[in-house]
Amino acid sequence: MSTLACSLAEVRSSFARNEFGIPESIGVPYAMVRHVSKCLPERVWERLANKDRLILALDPAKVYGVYIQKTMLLTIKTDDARPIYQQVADGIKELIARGELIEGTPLPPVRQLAADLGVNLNTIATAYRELQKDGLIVVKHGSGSVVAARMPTARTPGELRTPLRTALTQFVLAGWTKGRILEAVAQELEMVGRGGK
Amino acid sequence: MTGSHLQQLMVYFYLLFWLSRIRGVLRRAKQPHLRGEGWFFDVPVEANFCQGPGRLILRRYWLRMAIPCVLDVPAVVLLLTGYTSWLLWVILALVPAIHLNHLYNVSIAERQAWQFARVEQSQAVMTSTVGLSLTPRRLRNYTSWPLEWVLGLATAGAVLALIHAYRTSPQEHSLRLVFWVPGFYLYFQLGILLVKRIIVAWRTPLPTVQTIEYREAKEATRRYYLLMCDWNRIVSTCGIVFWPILLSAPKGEFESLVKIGLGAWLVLTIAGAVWVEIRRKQLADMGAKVHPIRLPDLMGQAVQARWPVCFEPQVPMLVLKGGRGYSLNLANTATYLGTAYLIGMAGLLMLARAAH
Repeated sequence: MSTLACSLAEVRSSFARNEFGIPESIGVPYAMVRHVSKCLPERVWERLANKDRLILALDPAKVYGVYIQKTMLLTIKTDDARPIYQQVADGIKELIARGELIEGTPLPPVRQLAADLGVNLNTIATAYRELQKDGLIVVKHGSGSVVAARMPTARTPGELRTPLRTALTQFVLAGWTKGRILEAVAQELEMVGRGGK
Repeated sequence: MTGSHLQQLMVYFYLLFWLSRIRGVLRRAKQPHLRGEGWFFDVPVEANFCQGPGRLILRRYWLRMAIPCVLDVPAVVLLLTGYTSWLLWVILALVPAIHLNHLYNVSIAERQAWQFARVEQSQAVMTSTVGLSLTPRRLRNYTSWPLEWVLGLATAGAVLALIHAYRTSPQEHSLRLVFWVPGFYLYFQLGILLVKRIIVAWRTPLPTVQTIEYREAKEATRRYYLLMCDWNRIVSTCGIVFWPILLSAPKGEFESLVKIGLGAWLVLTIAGAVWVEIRRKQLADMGAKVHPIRLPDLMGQAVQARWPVCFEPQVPMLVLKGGRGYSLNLANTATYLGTAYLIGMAGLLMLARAAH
């Protein structure tokens, strides 16, 4: 058996053509995919899981396993009106909502994110506190933070609708038509709702 | 190991070190042109920059490369006067001096070249967006457990053999003779672990263009330095394992054993140096393929890092990059640990001297 590392685009295109014969119910790009024609031993999966790139474990005749892990990337824009801690919190929330960060996924330590971004420790700590308050992450002392199980939110429908109303107001004031707004909302919902139950 | 053996070893070591430096000098001399025409390091410049305003900048860059050679003067004095065992300390001083000098040298040359940068290209180099990898980076993620087990078991076995040698014939072997060298090697390994911790924590912001290539280049560099650390740990563990063999050897075989040890060490060092050069070239090629990006300074490091040292408890970085060079953050945990380590090293050396 040999392993072949290839680019995300190549794997996506192979997925699109379903060259691996993976059942559609399993073929979720950007998440771990196990091709079940013949499962690899667990230890091999663990070894592959440590790699942060795309690896196909191949047999000359058939694919034994496919493992895909996209580098989870949080994007921070300096010209964004939101403060940095808010951008960090919103970015992680979005990844959780899309299902790219699943329950139990470890998050980098506050110090790592703060150093990578080149900001004060408090900036990232504030973002993590907000995520913890929202019940999206669990902070385990000594072992870091992990994504929490998806629980029904404690917020009231009114509280949840307020930011939506604010955003819609911005669209209306910008002169967008109702149809265009609905189309944009549907597109965003499609993006965000990928990880929904 | 007798004094003459140690002196002989140090001379070989120094000569090898000099040879390995020649390749490094050539590599650094070519570094401004690594990206090809139209670039000076990571600065976009006119194609004939090095024939025009860049000529003086390049010449000064080359001249500054020679600054660490000042430390070779005491080395030559030591060689001439016969105090060759002290050459190790010159080498230990030269390694960080060469690297720090190079960091500052590149920073100065780039700063000077930015005054002549092509405006439209330099705007493309700046970015207002930073990508952050959400993959946790911890020392354990970069640790090879089979290697750790092998090193640990080999060290434990050697220490048990030394304890046995000391207990069975304390009149032949003094405590210092038996345990100082392995103790020093172990302490050296502790220092390497500290360096590994710093390398793993080294900040890696990502641009949002060529993200995968950029990340792979950074990760490959990180893994290269970590591998260098492990290589040094393997060599020092070999030293620990070799020590009880040397101590228990009959007097007649002692000389030949030392020669075998020195030969093996020389082969390992030469093989390591060749591998380093090959790998460095690969990394340089990998880095040259990535378009240079200047990431935004969100914390105003340029203001905070005005002096070679600073005290910023809320800043997670060990080193801040300012407008005029680098600044060591004295409030960082790695600085505390590094200082404690150096004090410990001084204590260990004084202890050895007192027991002599």
